[in-house]
Amino acid sequence: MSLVKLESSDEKVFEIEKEIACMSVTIKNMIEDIGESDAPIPLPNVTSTILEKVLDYCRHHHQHPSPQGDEKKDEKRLDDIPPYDRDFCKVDQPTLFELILAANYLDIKPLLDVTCKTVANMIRGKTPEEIRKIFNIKNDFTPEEEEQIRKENEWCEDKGGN
Amino acid sequence: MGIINTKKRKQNRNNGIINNFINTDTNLSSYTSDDFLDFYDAINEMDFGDNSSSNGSLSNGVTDFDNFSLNISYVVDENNNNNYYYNNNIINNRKSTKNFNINNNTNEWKCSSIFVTYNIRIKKYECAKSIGEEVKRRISIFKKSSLIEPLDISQFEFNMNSNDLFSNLLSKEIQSLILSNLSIYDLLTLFRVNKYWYEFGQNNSFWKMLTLRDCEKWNNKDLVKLKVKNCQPFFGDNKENNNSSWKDFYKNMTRLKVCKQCKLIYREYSNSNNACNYHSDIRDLIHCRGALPSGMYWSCCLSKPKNSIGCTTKCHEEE
Repeated sequence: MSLVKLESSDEKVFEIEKEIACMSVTIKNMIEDIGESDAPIPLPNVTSTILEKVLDYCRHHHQHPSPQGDEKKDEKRLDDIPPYDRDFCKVDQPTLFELILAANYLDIKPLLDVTCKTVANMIRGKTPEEIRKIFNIKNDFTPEEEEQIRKENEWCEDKGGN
Repeated sequence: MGIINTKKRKQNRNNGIINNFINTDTNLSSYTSDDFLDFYDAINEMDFGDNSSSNGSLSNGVTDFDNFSLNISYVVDENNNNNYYYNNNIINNRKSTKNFNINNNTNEWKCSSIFVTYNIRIKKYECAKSIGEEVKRRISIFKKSSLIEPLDISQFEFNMNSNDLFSNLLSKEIQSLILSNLSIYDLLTLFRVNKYWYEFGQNNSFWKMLTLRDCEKWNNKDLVKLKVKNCQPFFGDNKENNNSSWKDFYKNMTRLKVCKQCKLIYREYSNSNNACNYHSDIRDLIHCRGALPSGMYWSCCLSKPKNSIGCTTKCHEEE
């Protein structure tokens, strides 16, 4: 199997099987455009730590392809994440967001889906105050504005009505 | 103890089992607990004219127990000859009183089963009643909340933490990708977090995407998809609604409504041309007409029970 070289933004070069690298649509298109060559493919938007993680993910899913039939089932359940992916996303927030950006840039749809779901799970079922705490979000509403928004959103039956 | 077979029971019910039960000298010992239950059911289904559900339009199909209780007493004499007494007092137009009084231990189980059902029914009724009140409360909340003007987002000055990576680092595209995994409740909570997310929540195309996502679960998804395709976030041809947003459309599709014809609670997304069953005419006294005995009937379809399913179908309409 032929190998391709990928170069991260901090000039580290990774060698990987072409088939695995082609899980990223961006890399696949690049290889098709420039043809076979020994020169490493530059990925200026991805650091070496993140690229290493992304390649781990690709390697795992290359070896354990997910059954095709399950795809539709997964779409119905919004919070359904397979065990490997769940562990894979147990990282600190900056890494998680870097992973989302890298998945978006490299165009690896399953990785983008799973990281987005992880962030969504952090928001699900929380109160506004809890969400602010999780993401270090600053509350820039005045108390009056906050009250007005609370009333504005009352049309949707809230479980607790917090 | 004689057991009345099902056929006879059905017949009894059709002939007005209550009358048979109360006004004849039937020996009650021939009835089993099943028959008591049946009797109980018959009372439940009994047509009280205007008395029973005058205020209970939301508690469809459940007898109004506030105005109704059951009183049957029976006495056992020494000779083991069971005599049963029962009465059916109608206090006034709105109230009739009936009670079971049990004086015989050996027969208690029969009657206790009746009380069990009785209690369950009452709970069911209370439940239906509290749901009705809850729905009314929510509809009034909706009306109030729709009057509130949204904040003016053009005046917003964003003032965000630099370590708020969720809002700062990601592009709006990716953010809406993340948000597409969340339910409407979680989204509304997120939009209350700060000004940035509030502005995000006013985004019309985001609500359009949300409508498209959620309409997969709706009954009238084809119609909704057509509306999305033609960019018409409203129903009907009303030109005045032209400036309504997808947020308003989504709200209108998912909020609770009460139908003005059948009084059922519904949501717009489950509405269809044959969703609402109602009677097009009033209930009226009809005199003996051929095979039809005199009595109160729906004059549109000549159906007798007050709570019979409507003969005309239409789509639900809000009051």
